[in-house]
Amino acid sequence: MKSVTTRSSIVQKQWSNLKRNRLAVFGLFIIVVLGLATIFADLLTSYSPNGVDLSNRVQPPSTEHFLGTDKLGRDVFSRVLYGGRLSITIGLCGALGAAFLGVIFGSIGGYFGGWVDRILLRLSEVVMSFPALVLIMIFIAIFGQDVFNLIIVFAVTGWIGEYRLVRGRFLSLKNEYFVESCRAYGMSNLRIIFGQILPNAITPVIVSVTLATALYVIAEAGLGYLGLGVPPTTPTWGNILNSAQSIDVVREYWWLWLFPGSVISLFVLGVNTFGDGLRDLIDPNQ
Amino acid sequence: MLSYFIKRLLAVIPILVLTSIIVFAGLQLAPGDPLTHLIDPMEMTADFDREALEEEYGLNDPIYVQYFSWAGSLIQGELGYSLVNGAKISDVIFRRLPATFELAGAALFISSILGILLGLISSIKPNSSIDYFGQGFGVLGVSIPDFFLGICAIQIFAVTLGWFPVGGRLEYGTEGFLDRADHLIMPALILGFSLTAAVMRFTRGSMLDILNKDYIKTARSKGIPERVVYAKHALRNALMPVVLILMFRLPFLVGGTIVIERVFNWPGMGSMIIEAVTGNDYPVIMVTTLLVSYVILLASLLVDLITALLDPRVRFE
Repeated sequence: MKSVTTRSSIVQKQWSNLKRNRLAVFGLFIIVVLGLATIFADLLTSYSPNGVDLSNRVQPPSTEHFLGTDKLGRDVFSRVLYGGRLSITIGLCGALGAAFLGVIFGSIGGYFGGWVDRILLRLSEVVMSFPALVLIMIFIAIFGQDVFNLIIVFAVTGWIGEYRLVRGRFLSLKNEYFVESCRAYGMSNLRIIFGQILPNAITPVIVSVTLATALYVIAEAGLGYLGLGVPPTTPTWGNILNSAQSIDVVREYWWLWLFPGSVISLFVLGVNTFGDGLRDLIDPNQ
Repeated sequence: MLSYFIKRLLAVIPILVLTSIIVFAGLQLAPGDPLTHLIDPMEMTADFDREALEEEYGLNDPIYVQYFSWAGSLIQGELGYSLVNGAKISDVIFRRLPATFELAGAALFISSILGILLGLISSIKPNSSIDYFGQGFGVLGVSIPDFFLGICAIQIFAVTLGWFPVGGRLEYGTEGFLDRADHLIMPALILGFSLTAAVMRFTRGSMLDILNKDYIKTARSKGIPERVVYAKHALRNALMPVVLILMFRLPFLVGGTIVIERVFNWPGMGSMIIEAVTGNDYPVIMVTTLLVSYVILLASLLVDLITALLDPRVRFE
């Protein structure tokens, strides 16, 4: 009972510290507002994101179509909302998947050391020497365009950051007295790794996941813009911007790229400022 | 120094080999007939003997023998043929490479200078308005997708104001330096923007770190002018991690180049990779990837050596 109360008071203290960082609160505000808007997209717009209306093609913003319509007469506002739902999900799942791989590899490599560690280290150097975007393109070229494939690709190419963090923490923690006493009690390696050491190593990973989410939302947008992300029929933030590849769209139909691009930038800005605030909170040295 | 160099070189070799194995595996996994990218399409006349050719190119050999012969021809510069148009991959790459080097080099140059300068300025007076401006610039740089920024720039500076051309590298038939610079400025600035932001944030952090060190206090107490303390004592040591961040950003630069080349219709390797991916031209994708990753590996080796030259502590790690 006692440990529970101290823990909640720590959370309260951290929260009040976070509140003092106005930029981080601003970031959190953006994340919450945009996140809720995409979750409750059904309530905010009556248009379907794929509702083709050929009599209302490329209409500029009006009271009827808040952000105008695209080349097939689909409502841009509705597409931005529904697209955001998928884009944020992809970014978050990719970041979580990458963190999962990184944590597993990092804790095993850091704890056991020896040849396991050396192999993982070499592997991480190989992945790091490939430019992520090219690697993602290869995956997509071979396995096809699909939401699930995209998440897997993000996870497989993005685990290096978390791996290095966790491995470093394990290297310094595994010789601490509390670990030795666990060993003396005869605790199994798995329980020591995941039950005892990992909770002490996991906090910086939270920041890392936040910033990686921002990175993957941008990556999805870039891939969608190039026409290489999720299948083009599904609305995502990237796919909405796909039409902006042609100079005519850039020149004539500014609402087709200005609004979606601004929403992406705003969301990523929010995640980044929130992540920076979180990092200052967790690691005041940086 | 020499022993450190050899140690680093030996550590890189297994990575080179592992990378090539992964790319080779990718080539094997990719759908399609391997013969089509191994031989010149002109040889595939109506009466060519498929089985004899398969035997000649070792396609019936065990997989590891195939790998070694593939790697061997790679070392000799035989990169194979494109599936889509039958062109020699090495020819295509050599034609496209200068454009990409021009763009990436300009972006790297601009962003290093601007980033270090901005970082230095905001570290002189932390938490001043200049510093907040710099930090805001830094967050914006990593938050706005570069292609979106590129589109905005095209709309504002090329379409509305007409200061720069919309895209491309050179007008047909023109050859002057000014024509080149005219086309280069916008894509290089946009590509360098996010890199500038990263370098700026890093320089600032590293400068603030160094400025708290005792030897800076000593220098100040000796009465050395503040200007000299910054430029001579602090900056030199603060730049070390900045060189490192430039190396870590290299893969991002490559990724950024791909997208920016598309936005500005720049005829470089990035456009080539996109064309290859959309056209399912697996050999081109794979070989280009391998070359790019080798360039990044060699660059990181070079950076390691420079750091070791500058900082003797690294050598005796």
